[in-house]
Amino acid sequence: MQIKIYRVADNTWYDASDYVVDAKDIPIYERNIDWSPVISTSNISVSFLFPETISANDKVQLYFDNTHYYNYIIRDVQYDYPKRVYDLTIEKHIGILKDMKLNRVNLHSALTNTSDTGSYWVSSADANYEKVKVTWAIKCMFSVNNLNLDITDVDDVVVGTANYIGFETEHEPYFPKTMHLYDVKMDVRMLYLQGFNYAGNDTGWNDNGWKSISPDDEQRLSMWDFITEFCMHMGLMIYNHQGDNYKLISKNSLTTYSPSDFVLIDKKQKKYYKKNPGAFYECYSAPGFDFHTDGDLWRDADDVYEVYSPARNGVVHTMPKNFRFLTGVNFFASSNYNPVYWQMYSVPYNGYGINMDNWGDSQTKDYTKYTYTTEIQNTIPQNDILTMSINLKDRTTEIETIVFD
Amino acid sequence: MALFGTSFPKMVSVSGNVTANFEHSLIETEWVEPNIIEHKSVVTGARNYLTSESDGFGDYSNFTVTLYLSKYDSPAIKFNEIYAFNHTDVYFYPHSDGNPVRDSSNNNVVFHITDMKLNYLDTPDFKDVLVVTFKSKKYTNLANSLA
Repeated sequence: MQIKIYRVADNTWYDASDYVVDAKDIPIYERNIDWSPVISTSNISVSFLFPETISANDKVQLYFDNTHYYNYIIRDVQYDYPKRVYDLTIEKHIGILKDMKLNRVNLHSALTNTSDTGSYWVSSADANYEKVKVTWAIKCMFSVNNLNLDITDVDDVVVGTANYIGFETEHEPYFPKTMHLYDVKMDVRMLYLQGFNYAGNDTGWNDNGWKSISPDDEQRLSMWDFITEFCMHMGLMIYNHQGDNYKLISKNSLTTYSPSDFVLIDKKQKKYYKKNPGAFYECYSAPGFDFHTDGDLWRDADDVYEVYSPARNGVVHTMPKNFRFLTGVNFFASSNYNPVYWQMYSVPYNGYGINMDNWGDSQTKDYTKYTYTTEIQNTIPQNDILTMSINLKDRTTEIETIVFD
Repeated sequence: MALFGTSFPKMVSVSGNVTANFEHSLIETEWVEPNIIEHKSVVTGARNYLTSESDGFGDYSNFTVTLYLSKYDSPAIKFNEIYAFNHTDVYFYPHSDGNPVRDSSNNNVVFHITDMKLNYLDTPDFKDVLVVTFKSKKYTNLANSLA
């Protein structure tokens, strides 16, 4: 085991293993019960005798071996003078996604840096509206922060099936009857305007009287805000398998993963059983929104948001709380576009969340919890793992699992 | 040849330069009471130490002198002489023919008399003794305290 500290000031890694005098449990993996990923934090104490000066935004690497190491960013440094130690607050490195706004300035060049029309393309039929595959957009959010996200395991995960009524194949690259995750697309401008509760435009247009929104507008989501919401609704997990290499995995495909992918260095295991199956698995697709638009939203005099232009399918859209269709607009059979009709997937940022009350009367909401310590078994389903952390002092791996049965 | 002298202990008050001798006494020495920090790595087990005075660490010295009052012609007079120093700051000479205890800068170290305990020897005639405890207020340096 080894702990290294990276000093931004001189761009160098230093071995601090001999100087780490105390540590809380070091997080390896953490998610919420609703599948939304968690940016874990912890604390380590480094001796005053460590010869280098440590500052916030420096980095920490925890090594178990060459293939299992984890990166953290130092968020805070406090000097405990009586103990002569630096108390470091560390956060999983993925936390830097919180620091970057989701906007065109930060993301657009990465989005367009592909020749894959399934990832990003411009629809000439839709007045040059840009569209992007959401998993590709998330991958780009990682890459612009110098993190690597592997999305290959989830792209072909089936997220739903739908019926349709006719389409013209020349309009869109994808018209799947079975919808895969790679079918989930977004209008790029809508992506950049996630979380806003008013109509706007991110390119600075003002000719229609829309509000021009600053790239750093306080209402803009961080990249992490978007990612965690999307993962929650789609049942995705972010798995950190080495350094800054992350993998997007789906709970639907988890059986292909082995617990050996995690570092299990000792024998301690906690298990939490939750006797509540059911609707939890159904919530993420937000079936209430079975339409979409790549058009723009208008806000009328009554402060109601209105969908203005018709849409192409396969585009994910987030709806504000109040909206309606403009009179006369037929989303599924307009004069301009051939009708397309199937279930679309929305990420209802303002609309739906995981609602405990929707879980159904027949299912208990009691969090029946059992805790016991046992030998680590190589049969822990990865999708049962809520949190995993390493206790440096007694060399144990703490695992919290949740089981639906 | 004793390193620090051979005669009885004495003390000199810091405030008034008054000297008091412990002619009939027994001295117990704790020349070194380390005040250091040990940092042991939870990762590798490596131990590192903070010991230098520049980092705020060093060694204190403590002494306990048992004064046999019954050996004086007037135990009460000797008791009053010594007891007047209780809870005061003094320079301490472990041996009156040697040097006071000094620090790394060769300055006399101030000792505080933390307590004086009046007691009897464990004999049938209740002979009085006074047990006086001296603790250095700052770090000491033995090399500078040699006779």
